[in-house]
Amino acid sequence: MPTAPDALRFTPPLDALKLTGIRKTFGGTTILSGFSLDVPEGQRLALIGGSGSGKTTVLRLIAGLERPDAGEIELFGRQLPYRRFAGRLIPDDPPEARELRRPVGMVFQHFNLFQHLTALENVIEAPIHVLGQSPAEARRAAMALLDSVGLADLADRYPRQLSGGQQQRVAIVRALALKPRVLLFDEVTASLDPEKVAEVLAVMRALAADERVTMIIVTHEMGFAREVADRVVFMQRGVIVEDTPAAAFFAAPQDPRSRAFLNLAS
Amino acid sequence: MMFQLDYAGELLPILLEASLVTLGATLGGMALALVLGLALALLRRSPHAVLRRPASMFVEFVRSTPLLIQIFFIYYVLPLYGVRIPTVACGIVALGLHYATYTAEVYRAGIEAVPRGQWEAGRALSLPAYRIWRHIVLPQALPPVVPALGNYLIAMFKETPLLAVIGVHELLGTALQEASQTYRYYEPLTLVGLIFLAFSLIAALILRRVEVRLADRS
Amino acid sequence: METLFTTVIALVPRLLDGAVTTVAITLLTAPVAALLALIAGLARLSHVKAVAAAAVVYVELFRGTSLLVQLFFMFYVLPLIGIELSPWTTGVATLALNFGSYGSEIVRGALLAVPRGQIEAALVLHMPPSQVLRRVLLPQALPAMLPPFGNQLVELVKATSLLSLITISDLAFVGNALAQTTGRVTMVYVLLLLIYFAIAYTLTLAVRALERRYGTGATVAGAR
Repeated sequence: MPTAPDALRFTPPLDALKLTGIRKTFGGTTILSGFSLDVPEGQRLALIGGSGSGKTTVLRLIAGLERPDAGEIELFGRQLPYRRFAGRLIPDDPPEARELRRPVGMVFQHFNLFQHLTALENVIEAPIHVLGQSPAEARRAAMALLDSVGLADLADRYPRQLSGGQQQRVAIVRALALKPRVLLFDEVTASLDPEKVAEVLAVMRALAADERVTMIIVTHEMGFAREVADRVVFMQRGVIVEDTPAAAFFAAPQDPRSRAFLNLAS
Repeated sequence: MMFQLDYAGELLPILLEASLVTLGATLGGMALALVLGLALALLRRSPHAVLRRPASMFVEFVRSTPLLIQIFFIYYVLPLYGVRIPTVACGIVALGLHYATYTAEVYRAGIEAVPRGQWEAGRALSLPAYRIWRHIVLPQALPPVVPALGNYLIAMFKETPLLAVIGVHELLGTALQEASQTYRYYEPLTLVGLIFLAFSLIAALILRRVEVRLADRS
Repeated sequence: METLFTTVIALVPRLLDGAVTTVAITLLTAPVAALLALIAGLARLSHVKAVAAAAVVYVELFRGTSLLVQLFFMFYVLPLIGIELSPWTTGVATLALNFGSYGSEIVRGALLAVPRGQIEAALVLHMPPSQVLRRVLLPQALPAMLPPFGNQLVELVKATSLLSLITISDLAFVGNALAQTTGRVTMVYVLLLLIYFAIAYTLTLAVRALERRYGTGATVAGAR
């Protein structure tokens, strides 16, 4: 089927992501029940709330690291299939789910760089073995990305030879190397030394300037959320308490629970 | 060839009786392995090289040679030098010696896991070495290694059929004897396998219980 | 007059013949056992429940019964139900199945010990499970498997002696025969123990060298 070039094609505003009626329990504890959320393409969504509010679970469901007990997840209008029991070692979803999730990238709180690979090898692993790029091509792109976050010199170091902030920047680059259209950030600065937080936030700030990428940011950095996000979803015990434009949220939170949270956080 | 249930039914009481010999040899061997293993572990931590070296060499040597040959050695060679003990005792000694080298390693791991500070505190109170071992180090070193010792108990149990080679009438020996009379191997050997499987599964369940109990305590 | 020296000279070459057989059995069995261990270890973690269950049955069956009983069962019972194997095939197959069942626990333990985050990182990079296994899990789990597999290799050398009981003329078989025919009981058994020790200890040293080279799970290759 012939398609028009992107610039000429009329594209109605499309939800990058749509969660409907999600229920998720862990060993009898209900984390989410009937959770729904629409995220338009290009939005910078800050997902905030105390620990146990379910915000990380939302990210992990989108990324395919958890399976919902009920409900649907749609990515760019396509519903994601999943298996109920997916194996004890490597969760295994149908291949079409993996295909549909291609546009999604995720960065973790604990970086999770591959310990047996260097920084560069971490970044080129998926472009070569998932996208099928040539090693030379992947290497060139990876070096450019590493350079853009100031880590070209450290490309040949192993993760344990890097500081937390450096590891997290490599992890972001590793996600970017697959050119994601949706990026999930799970408390990416929470396990960093305070003086390393800024270098990671700077990288994310630069990313946020690219309007095409949808970002969902789970964070405790209220200052950063205020600066980068254009929408805030505040969660408590698996329920959305407040869902407003970021500016409104930080200026005057409506719900007493969000007010209490903001007071504590700042 | 069909599995004959009648014959199996005749065999079962005989084999269950023989399993008492198997269990007896296991318990006897384990008792020896527990005591001797602790002695070896302590000797290997001795400050005197005269004690430490031979203990280490003994452990390395016995661990690296087959139990089967050790059984033959004790059964055939020792009597030549005037050591005459009953056949079953030969088997128990062989099992005990062999597994003592394994329990010694287990004890060692337990002892090494006791923090240095415990030793230093004992010395600061100027307790004699014996009292430090007896009242401070061992009471902390032993409980955590009980599951590992239990695993060797099960392993030893599964090696008792080797005693059949010197004529101990434990499970396998009895089964082979029965088979040689009827020329039917199918039923006796299958039953022996099933009995071992049953005992092992029961032992594993008990061991898991003990592990949970120990984990709860700490 | 026969001296100690001439006795040793007379015995050693025949024992060494047996030793060659022992080493051959070990080297033949070890790779098969390792392969079985890998397959069974992975199968136990499969998302196909029947596969996982089959692996559990195999592992529990061979771990729960005794090696010598298994050997005799295969040797005496299989021909009765129409499966004719040579003693060598019977011996090597039984040893491999037995050690494969123990090894599968090593494989499983090492795979499960790789931090969860490594798997998750691979998944969010959209790797299919086979690739996660091959490129992320196994490279990190293999170093941790080396020391326990080394111990298993020494246990295997010792266990090959049981094959003497199903007519294979390995070191133990030759030794027992010589002890009976020559009457040099003490000498033969001492030599037997020494030769077994030499074989096992050589393997121990080889495995230790390998460990030093490829590191243990804690210090993965390349990191200082």
